[in-house]
Amino acid sequence: VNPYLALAAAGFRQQARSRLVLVSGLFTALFFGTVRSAVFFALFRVRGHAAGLGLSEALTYAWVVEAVYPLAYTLWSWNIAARIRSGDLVVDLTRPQDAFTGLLAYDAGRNLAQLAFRSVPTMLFAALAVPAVAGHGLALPGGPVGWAMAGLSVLLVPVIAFGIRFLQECVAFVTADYRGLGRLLFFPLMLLAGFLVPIEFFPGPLRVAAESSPLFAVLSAPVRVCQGVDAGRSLLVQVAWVVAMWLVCRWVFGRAVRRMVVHGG
Amino acid sequence: VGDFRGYLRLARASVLAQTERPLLFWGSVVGASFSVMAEGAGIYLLVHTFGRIGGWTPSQVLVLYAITLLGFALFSTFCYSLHSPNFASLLRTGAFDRALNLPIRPLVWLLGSDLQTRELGRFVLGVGLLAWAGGDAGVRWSPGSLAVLAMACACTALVLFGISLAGVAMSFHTRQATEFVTVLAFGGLNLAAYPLQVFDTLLRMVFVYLVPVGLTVYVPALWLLGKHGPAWAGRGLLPLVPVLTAAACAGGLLAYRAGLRHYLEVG
Repeated sequence: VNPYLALAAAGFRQQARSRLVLVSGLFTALFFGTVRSAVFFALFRVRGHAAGLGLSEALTYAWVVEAVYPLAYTLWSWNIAARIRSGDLVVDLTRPQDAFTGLLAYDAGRNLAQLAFRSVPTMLFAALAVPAVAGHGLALPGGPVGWAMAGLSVLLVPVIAFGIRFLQECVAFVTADYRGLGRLLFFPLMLLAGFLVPIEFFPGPLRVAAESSPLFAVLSAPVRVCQGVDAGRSLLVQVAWVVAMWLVCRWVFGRAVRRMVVHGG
Repeated sequence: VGDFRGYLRLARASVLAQTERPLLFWGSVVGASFSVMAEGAGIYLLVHTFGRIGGWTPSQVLVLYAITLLGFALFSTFCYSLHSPNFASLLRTGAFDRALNLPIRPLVWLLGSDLQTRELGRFVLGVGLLAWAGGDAGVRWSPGSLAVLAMACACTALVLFGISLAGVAMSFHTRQATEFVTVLAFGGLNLAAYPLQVFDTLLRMVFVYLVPVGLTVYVPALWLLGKHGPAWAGRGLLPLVPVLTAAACAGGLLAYRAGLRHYLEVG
């Protein structure tokens, strides 16, 4: 068996192990999606359109963000930093397969489980329940090409998010207090990614900064691809960030491993 | 060791341990204050674009948000280890089992062993945001309004405490963190940052009367802003706020005690 496939399968099993966690995760997504939708209903009652969005686009944003969020921000954050700190990474480096690709494969397996048991059911619920309850449908892709683009866009999210997280966790190579940096950056990153509010609502310079960062590719790009707004360009931006993150991560990891000193003989 | 003295010793050790690592400490304090800026900016941008939500202006909504924030900061400072993922980690690593052998109540150990100083950043920025938004929304600060504000923050923190204890009781059985608790505690706070009338009747009733985190934020905010509010949660319900808070705490404590009585150590 290909070692990377075996690692991905192990990651999938690890994530799918507890039914209670899966059910409660899905429940969380549905709850927060409902809260966001209620806020948008109240806002769009005041004015039909704002910042280029109508109610359908805003509701699509609310639910796609809830579906994609667990792929972008993972509950197992800091696993890589913990491996660096504990020395487990040294074991990874002695294995015949590439350590970086192995970490990515394991992460991809866990994310596939998140996608299957949380993201897809969340979107199915939204697509069925929102029109029934609110009498207002989501702005979803109309044809097979649109759906294929949306699927690809969502699949690219965990790859880019892994890159961002990996770079952040590489701080553990130089300090044991790596969590401080994570706590410092968490909320500004959430705002810039468009998790707290769609980036269409940002003032000019902030919007330019958000659209130019890899964070755009993690949350806002899949929202736009699903809405069918600027879909081709958003998908291309995601592909470009996958390549860029891969190159930067490999370079940083290579340098860090060359300078690493293993304690304990 | 008496419980109170034991708590003070644990809390002191916890604070000293956090300040021993300056990068982690300051990163956490500044990061917590960034959360206020980012979330506050998000809410303001959204409501400001439309002008109003449910008849509330952006600064009035920020008053609601600031109360949720201060309540959360209080809870998180003193009860961080009750937060579902943190407690589940204590169970899995066996740290809680070891605490059962100490000459101190396990709940006191839980509260004292992880006093979070980083919430200082959230608290300071939250007070600043409340002062600014309250001034803009026409809040008249007086001893009476400050007392209502203090009650709102304390009751919000205590409701979160009650919910978290119920979550701890669940974790005794499941050995895992459950996001159900996240929804009730932090989802409720997220919802309470907006005027409650924008939500569906079921959500409103759950978060006003059953898990009263909506009530502890919304009703005092009505009082501060000089609003009357809807019949189902008008400002006249202010005396009900401490009553329902006490009920939520009592429910949480009962669930915790029942869970602890039947808990079998992991090892």
